[in-house]
Amino acid sequence: MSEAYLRAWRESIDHPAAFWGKAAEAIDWIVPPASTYDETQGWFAGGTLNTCYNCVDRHVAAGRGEAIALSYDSPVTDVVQQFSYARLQDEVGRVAAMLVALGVGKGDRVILYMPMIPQTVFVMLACARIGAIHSVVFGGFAPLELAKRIDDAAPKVLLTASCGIEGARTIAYKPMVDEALTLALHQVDRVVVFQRERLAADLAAPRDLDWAALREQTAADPVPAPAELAASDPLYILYTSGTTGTPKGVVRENGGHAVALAWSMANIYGIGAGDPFWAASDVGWVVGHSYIVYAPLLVGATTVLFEGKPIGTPDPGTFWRVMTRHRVQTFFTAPTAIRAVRKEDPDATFLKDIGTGDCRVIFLAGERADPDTIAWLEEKSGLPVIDHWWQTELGWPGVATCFALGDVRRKRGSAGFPVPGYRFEILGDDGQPVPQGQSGAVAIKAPLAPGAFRTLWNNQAGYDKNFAGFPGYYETGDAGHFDAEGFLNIMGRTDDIINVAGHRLSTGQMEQIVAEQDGVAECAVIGADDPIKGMIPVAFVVARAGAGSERELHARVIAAVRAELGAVAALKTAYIVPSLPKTRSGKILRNLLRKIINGEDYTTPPTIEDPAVPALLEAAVRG
Amino acid sequence: MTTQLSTRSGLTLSVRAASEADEAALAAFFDSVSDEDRRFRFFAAAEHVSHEQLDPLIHADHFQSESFLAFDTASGDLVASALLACDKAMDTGEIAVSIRSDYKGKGVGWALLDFLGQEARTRGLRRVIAIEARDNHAAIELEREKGFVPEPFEDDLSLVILSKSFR
Repeated sequence: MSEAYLRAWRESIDHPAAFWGKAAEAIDWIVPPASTYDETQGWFAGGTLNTCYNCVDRHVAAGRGEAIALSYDSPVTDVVQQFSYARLQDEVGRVAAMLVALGVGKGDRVILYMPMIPQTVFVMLACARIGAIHSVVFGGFAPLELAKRIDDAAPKVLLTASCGIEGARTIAYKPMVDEALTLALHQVDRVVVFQRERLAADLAAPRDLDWAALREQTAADPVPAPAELAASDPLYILYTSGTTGTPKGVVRENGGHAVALAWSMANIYGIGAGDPFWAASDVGWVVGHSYIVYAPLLVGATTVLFEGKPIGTPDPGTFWRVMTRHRVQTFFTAPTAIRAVRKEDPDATFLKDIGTGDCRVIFLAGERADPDTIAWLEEKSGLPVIDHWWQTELGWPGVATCFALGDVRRKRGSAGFPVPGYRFEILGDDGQPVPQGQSGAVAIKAPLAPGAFRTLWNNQAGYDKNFAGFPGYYETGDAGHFDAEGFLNIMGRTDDIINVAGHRLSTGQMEQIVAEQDGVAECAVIGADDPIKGMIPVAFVVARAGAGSERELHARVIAAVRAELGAVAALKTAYIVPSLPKTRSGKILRNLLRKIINGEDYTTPPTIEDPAVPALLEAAVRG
Repeated sequence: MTTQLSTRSGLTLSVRAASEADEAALAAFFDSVSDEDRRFRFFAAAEHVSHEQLDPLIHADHFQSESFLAFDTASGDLVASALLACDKAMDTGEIAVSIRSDYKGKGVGWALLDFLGQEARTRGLRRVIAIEARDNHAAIELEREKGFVPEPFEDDLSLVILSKSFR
């Protein structure tokens, strides 16, 4: 059952040019690539294409204009709306004309601070159509974080909506955009605001434009033709947390991205033209970019855009309801979502009532799926549940069970096998591969597969650093090992990145904010285990002498992180402690803090400076 | 007492113990260390090293622990901090070195590791250790070249402990 996978992986490693050259046939090129890989120009050098054309126009041209491209399902606003490929082509064309009227052209950056509505997809595709580079900023980020992205990307225009809907809450977006633009050094020419029925935003002329009015004004403008773009031209910039406060702008190139995503739909997820596919993520994250927008549309499938939550919109049956309503064949979500559903509905009564319809397989990613959650979901759904692993930098899975290649081997707690195109090695501290079974740094042999990043926006040095630690390899930042059967087990990060409810966050960034607060002498923010979110950040704060009330300090620290980073930070707990556990040279023993907060057994390391500290911390944490 | 060290790039360093009077200079020095190197030094991400964190670096007891400052002899600038902190039994000493961003790659780390090793021997230590973040490849590489042997740190995947025994 795994032969097809093994053959594909072997072929991709031994004959990458032939393997990816064949995969590239799934894409309509304007000029076919001159070579599959070039050291300087990357994947599919010499090739030109347009990603929007491949996602939309070609399906209409092939006579599939009436096929459903996008199913929008918003349980809170009670809207279910379907867009055929022909309608999508029209909508994208109108938005592309709007952008062109605002002077946006090839290479210009466009920032989207938008909720999970069809207009967001239209803008992304419209940018792809005209060769503008979009950068979608997740709505949970605070104005300061949006401002950092604005300053780095230097966009010509920013598009937003009057509000986002987060479960029962309506979040006004426009005031956050206004504040971000006050904080940012770079100024945009125009802010285009999509007014939603639920909440209207105030517009300030001449900078702010009403979406509907602009659409009206440009209604007679011709639909811009798909721009001819080099395979190496950027499609988008997606910012992700780095180990320090500055977000890293992962640059995705058109050519490799299109080829890799199309390959993954056919060979991992088992989705082709006309098949409904649902990735329950947010377009602000990489899963949303790749598997809500681009991949399903590239292969002519139907994608589901779900503006709801796993629970509370209105109940823990919403996943099964949406899945059956849209006849979803492959479902993709984060382990945290399943844990949330399970907590509300431990016996899966909703699942039993509603069923899973046509769904054949469930994929999980975003953070490590714990075996218990996978077992529960497999038992209740009767479907194979496949955990898989990838990163924003890669853009698509690096480790998975390639279900569509007939491989169903899986082991709970493992992320599966290297996906064709990726050669993983577990490296020791000397940079040499370790014997099988031993843990080490998870690295991928360079060059990375098509679709993976080839630079960071304005930060080539930051990109190069990923390859500097182990020459010839990309360092994933994860530690792990291969077991005897070849399953790759990802054990955790080797840096300070944590995954909170599938959102990648930097504890270092939070630590920097906490350290700046009045009354803080020292602090550490670490990721603690959480039964629902997988991990949550927790702060340990040593108060400065005379800092005043502990309660006020606690409130100040929490409020500061929320104000500067946004609701996404989810920092709710801070312990005011007498001291932090350190080595004799003053290095904080962060893993010890983690064990204490998680209630795990620990031995006090002989390298600790003050062996009395762990007991003090226990007392602070356990009250 | 000031010690003169020569680095392989021809730089001359003047190394002496830090005192309370050095707090402001040391604080300014850590501001000139890269964010990443500051994280590697303290395993903390704060952008400024606080008074409380500096305290042990300016109040060493000059035996069980010694905090050294290295100055570029030519300019008089503080360019590195090097700490040797030993356990009570004076068996094992932990070392930690930070170098100003623009002085990296000039052999400062190499010279200071030799210097700290000598200080450790003088104190009769059995071994010195360095505890490094696993992604601090530069330090791990340098220490390996100086004969330190890396091992996993307890069960913490993010750290490596490197040790060098004298006897």
